[in-house]
Amino acid sequence: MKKIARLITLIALPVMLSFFAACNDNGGGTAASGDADRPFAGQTISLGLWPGNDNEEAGMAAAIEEFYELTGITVELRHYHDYQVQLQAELVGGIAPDVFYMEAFLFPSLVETGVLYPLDGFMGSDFDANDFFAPALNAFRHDGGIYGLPKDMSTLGLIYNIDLLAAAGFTPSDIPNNIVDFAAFVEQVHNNSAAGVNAFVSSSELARHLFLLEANGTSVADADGFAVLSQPNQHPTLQLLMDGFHAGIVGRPADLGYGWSGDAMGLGNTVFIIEGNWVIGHLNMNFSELNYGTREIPLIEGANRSMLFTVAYSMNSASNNKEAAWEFINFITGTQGMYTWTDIARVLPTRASVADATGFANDPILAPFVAAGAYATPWQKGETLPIIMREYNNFLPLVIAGEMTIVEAMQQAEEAANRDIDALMR
Amino acid sequence: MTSRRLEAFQGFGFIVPVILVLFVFTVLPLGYAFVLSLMRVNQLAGTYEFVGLANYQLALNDPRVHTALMNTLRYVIIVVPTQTAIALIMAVALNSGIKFQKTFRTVYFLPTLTSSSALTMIFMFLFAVNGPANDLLVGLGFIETPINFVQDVRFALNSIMIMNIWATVPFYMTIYLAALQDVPDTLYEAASLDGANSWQKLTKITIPNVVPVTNFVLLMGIIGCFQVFDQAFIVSAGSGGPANATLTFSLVIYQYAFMVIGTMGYAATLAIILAAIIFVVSIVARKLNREETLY
Repeated sequence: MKKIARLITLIALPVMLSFFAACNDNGGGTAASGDADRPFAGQTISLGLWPGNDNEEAGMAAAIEEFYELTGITVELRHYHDYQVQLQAELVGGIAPDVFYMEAFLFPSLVETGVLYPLDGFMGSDFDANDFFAPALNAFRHDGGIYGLPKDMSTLGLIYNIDLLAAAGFTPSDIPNNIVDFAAFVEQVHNNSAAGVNAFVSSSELARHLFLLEANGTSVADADGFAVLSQPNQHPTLQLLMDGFHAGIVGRPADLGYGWSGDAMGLGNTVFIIEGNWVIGHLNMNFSELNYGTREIPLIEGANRSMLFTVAYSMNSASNNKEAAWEFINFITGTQGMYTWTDIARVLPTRASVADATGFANDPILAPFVAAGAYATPWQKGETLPIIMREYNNFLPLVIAGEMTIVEAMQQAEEAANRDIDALMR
Repeated sequence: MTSRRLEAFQGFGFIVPVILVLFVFTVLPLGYAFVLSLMRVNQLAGTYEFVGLANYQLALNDPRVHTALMNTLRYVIIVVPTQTAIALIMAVALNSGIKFQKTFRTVYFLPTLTSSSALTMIFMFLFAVNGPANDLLVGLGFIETPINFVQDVRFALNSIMIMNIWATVPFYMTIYLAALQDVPDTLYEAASLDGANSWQKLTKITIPNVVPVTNFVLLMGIIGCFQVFDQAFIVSAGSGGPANATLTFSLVIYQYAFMVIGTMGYAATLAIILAAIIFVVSIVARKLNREETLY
């Protein structure tokens, strides 16, 4: 009998151990021992995020440290390496963190399901929502409520290689300020440049083209979420770009053997790119010799336009520490927290006042990207955007290869997307 | 307690952990996937609506699923025989006693040790428009203008096939090498005395003797190729493009499961269909390549 008892223990032990291990992550909500100034001191909240570069990691650590000193609340980080898949799985499983990064692109699909907690109830009358760049904050509004506060943003701007421009016989002031003239200018630069130098390198996908397609006011999704891609008034600027591909003036980074446009620019292989401000840190760190400049994208259909990529802090509806979670969101997206975060991480603040305080708004390289925050088109369009994006990216290469016209390809993309949307999402 | 019962009890005791693990991580998910496949699901919102076989009906009439199935079938039909044949030939060559065969074995095995996503990135660089592969082809005069292998509808899937064959051949080669050690030398000696040449030895002795291993290699190849995903995902950034040229069955499943929220039921349906297809094809392959020894 003794033998059997020993055997059972042997079997049961690993099972029990794994059970304890599984239960162990329930660390949130430790008893509060706060005082009047710091009512939530001693509490712990969890924060789900993806790992950043060295600057971003340092910025996050500094902001969390400041937050702890101010409130006594500990922030536990949970890093996602496959953000969308992991966050979904954790939300379904009921183990998602109290606060997590919320990509604007993913936001419409998630907010519909009720997993995000509205923040309006926490905002006092002194909450200054107008300090945020409107497109960034509006990306996280739903049915009149705010479900996330944007932590920072990225916008697209025009980046040019001053030396290559000079080699082609031009100066930065020669760059025209509307897209039609700019296309002609790029062709001139191409003709004047040495062999092996590309005039323009462009990643071609919907995330970079949404603002071109919508420049005349036609959205890529109708009120019911169905794709609208083949309307002629969506295509004038896209046509210019495609003409550039067909004439051999524009190239995609992958075709040229680069991981992305930033490397093509850094290695002095291209005169122009339209990229996000994330390229600036890359150029400064890896290609410090590069002589480059930036400016806003030339006017499209008579107005300043750009893309806006933004991420918010959102609160988990199932969180047990909503008060403490709000303290954190309010701090890190407030003037002090956002200053610490953006100043060290070198990312663009979503508050105009912080953009002034960090000096980014007046920095000659960063200012064009900050300015775009006021007018850029957010990378977001309802819950059907993943399908619309998939089919756009699926069919656009045929246009680039010259095998179809834009309208032909976009009719197919539209049809494929709408068949899917109709069958599965309506 | 009798010693017999004790023994039986111990036996069950030993298999309980494995059974538990299999049940929790294989049987349960399989059953859950099947249940999901009969539903319209938004797991985040917690809505589970039973729709019967509607998802299956949808899949049968979905042109994207048809395209994915054709792409995947083409992929299997080309890749599986090719990689099996090359693996066998290389194993025979490396078993023939040539100089440095151990070095060759090691070098050939390297691609298998590398992650397939890293290999895909390297291949995309090699086959870029101004990459080394095009430089070579243009330099040697085979083609006049560089080919956009990865982004051209005609070449995209073929590029992935080459990539996959290159990466998996060494693994199967190693398995064949092990199998070749078991083929008795006496058979080759007898054949030599009878005046057989090396081609006859290969076809009459080596190949029949490694049939069970060939079965294993074919089976693994079929399963792996039907599930091809990462190369297609990286090359097309998840879209399956250009124009569905790299849309594979697993990629379609991923798109519905993780790229769009609220279509998990349909993704589960497709996964069940893929499992059924792989099951049937594997059975057929096994029947065609009979395992009984020929002597």
